[in-house]
Amino acid sequence: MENKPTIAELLAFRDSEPVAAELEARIERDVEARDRLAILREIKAALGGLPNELGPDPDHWEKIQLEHERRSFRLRGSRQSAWPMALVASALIIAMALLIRPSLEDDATDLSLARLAVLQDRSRALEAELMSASRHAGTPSEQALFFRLADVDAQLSDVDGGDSLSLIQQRELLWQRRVELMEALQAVQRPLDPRPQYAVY
Amino acid sequence: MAGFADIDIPPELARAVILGDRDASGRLFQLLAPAVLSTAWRMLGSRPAAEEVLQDVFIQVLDRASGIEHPSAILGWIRTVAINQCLMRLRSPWVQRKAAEEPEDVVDHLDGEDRLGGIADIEKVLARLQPETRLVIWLHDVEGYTHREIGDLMGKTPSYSKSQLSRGYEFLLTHWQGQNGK
Repeated sequence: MENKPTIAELLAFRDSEPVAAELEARIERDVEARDRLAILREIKAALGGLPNELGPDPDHWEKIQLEHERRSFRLRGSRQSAWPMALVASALIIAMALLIRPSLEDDATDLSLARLAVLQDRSRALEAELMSASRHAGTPSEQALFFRLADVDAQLSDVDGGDSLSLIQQRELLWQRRVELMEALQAVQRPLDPRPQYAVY
Repeated sequence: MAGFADIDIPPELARAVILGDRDASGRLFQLLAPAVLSTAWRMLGSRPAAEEVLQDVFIQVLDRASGIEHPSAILGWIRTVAINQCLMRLRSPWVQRKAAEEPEDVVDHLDGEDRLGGIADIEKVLARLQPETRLVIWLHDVEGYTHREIGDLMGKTPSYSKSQLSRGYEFLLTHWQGQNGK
């Protein structure tokens, strides 16, 4: 008895990928395979015909512009916050006329990296605690926090790699936000935790 | 038409966006928001997540469109940004954890009304697939990506893309057969 064409084979045939002549002949001889092929074609056409039915909220563009401004402002702010230290370091360098200290950017970078490491440790600890709680993201507020976390993760992927001060500072802001969100998630979940709470002395 | 097919961005609008014209970016948003939002919603299965993708895509337009050399490239660039944003969300440990908690439905557990009642209900069944499987079906069948391109995008092999497509269609066909009794 002849082997029935698999879904993978039918899909390859449907999508005009190179297939063996033997497969083509098998499909031709098999009424059921031809029916399935017709359905696969219909489903593909249906997917392509789905309308773009979702529209943005009327004020979505304004919100995006505001968010853009907010992110730009935070980045500018974080860059400006490095200035006082940079000025001090600069004065020291000029006064001592020695190049025994690392560059200004290295100072700011070291500080940012140190803060980043602390935030990453805190984030890992919180994530481990949340994972071990093994609760479903049931309530709308929990789901919203999960989605915001996913959003931060997506932004972190954007600034992953590269060791310029600007990128490190962007990462620092995002890790800070990640920690805040997980703390919020923990706070939302805690009241529902049935385990008794004990004071630690 | 689904996704970004058949969308036409007037060249003068694209040029103005690249030059940093904020009003033009607003007009481009009105033109593309339904495609970005609907695509992200179908890939991620969540309206709030799709709205975040829409926001991040257009923040990138405001920040980075000036780097686009040719106005004709802007639609493809925005589509790529949107798909990458979806993919990054799917890769997030939080989303993966949620997906692991909610395994793909099986036919026996679906109500009759959730089976494919012809083409109209395809969206409902599509939403029940695992996110990566749904993403592969959408990229391949709607956006026209090849298996190699999907593999590259997802950091996997073309075979992975093919197997996800088959797996997804297996599921869709089962529902189709459930409805039609074949």
